Amino acid sequence: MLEYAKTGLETGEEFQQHLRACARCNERWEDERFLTAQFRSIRETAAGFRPSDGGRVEIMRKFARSHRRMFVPSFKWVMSAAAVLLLTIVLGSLWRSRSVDQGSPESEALLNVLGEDEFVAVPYAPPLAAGEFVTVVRMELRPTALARMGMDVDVTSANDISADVLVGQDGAPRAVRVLDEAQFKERSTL
Amino acid sequence: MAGTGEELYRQSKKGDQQAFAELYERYAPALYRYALHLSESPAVAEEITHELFLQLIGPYSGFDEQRGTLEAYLYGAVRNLVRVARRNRIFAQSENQAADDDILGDLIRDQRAAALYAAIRELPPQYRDAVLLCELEEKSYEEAARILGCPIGTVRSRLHRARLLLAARMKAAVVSSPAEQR
Repeated sequence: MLEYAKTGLETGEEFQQHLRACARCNERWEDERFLTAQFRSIRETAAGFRPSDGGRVEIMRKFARSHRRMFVPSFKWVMSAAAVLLLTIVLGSLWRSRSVDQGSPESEALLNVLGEDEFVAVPYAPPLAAGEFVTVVRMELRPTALARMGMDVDVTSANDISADVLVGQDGAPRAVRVLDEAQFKERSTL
Repeated sequence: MAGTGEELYRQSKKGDQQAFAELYERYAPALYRYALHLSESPAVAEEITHELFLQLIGPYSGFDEQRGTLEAYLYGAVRNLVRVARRNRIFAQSENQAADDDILGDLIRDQRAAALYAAIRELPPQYRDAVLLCELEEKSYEEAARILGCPIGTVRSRLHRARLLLAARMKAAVVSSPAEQR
């Protein structure tokens, strides 16, 4: 009965006859039809109700903002990773150059190669590879250039100073030796 | 864009604004009305609908596809939020306002329909839910059963009982005010 009242389906003749004969069922049938009609009335009134347009705009704005925010942490992670990588590189290069200065196996090997006490290792120079050939180049150098190589010279002097520069296969200086002027003259006459 | 509510939800979680807009258009009006029927306050209904979609945006929405449909989750969330709102200050603040401007109640021009709407509000919660979903939101018994998390037969019997109660109350109302005739 409820479904017939709700859907408005055509009821059969037998059903109608029963309603005419049974007051209780007839009353129930009228109740169901009444309720169905009133529900429809309420439904039609309520259909126009919906959240405000302002609410919709605000929620869409918050949605857009919340998904923009999702990129911020990932950007932060990238920046953090880059900072850590940079720090690692800087610390690594510092440690490597310090270890060469402080008598690391590479610097000791270099001194063995030189075999001369007067040679001074150039600071921050890359270490020699095992079996790498070296060349000693005799040249006149500005006092400031020698000072940059760690030599204790008078930088105010205007005269160039003779020196032996030990150069690796890559052309980079590894060690330098200031020649005594008299010794240099003596050698040059030989 | 077409798709089930669950598909739209998944796409909106990936940042698809169009999917979220469609999700809102599909569910927000019905959820608003449901909240309005339960809370009797347009302000609370608006607040709850807004809060519900804010939860959906957030990382911890609580919706789990393994546990049920999105629709069932949303209607369940509205019921919970109405309960929370009743306890919270927000409801106390807007309750007076709701009493002053019961917009939906006022707009129901037919006095008998208005009386019926008032009677629906006085039903026990489980009967009221069946009426709201099956009669006012025109959900099928299957949909209502999913939303309410109970068997279809339970929805049918609740609706049947609710209609009997409503009919009896409407008759009592007519008897108490004999000037009104159906």
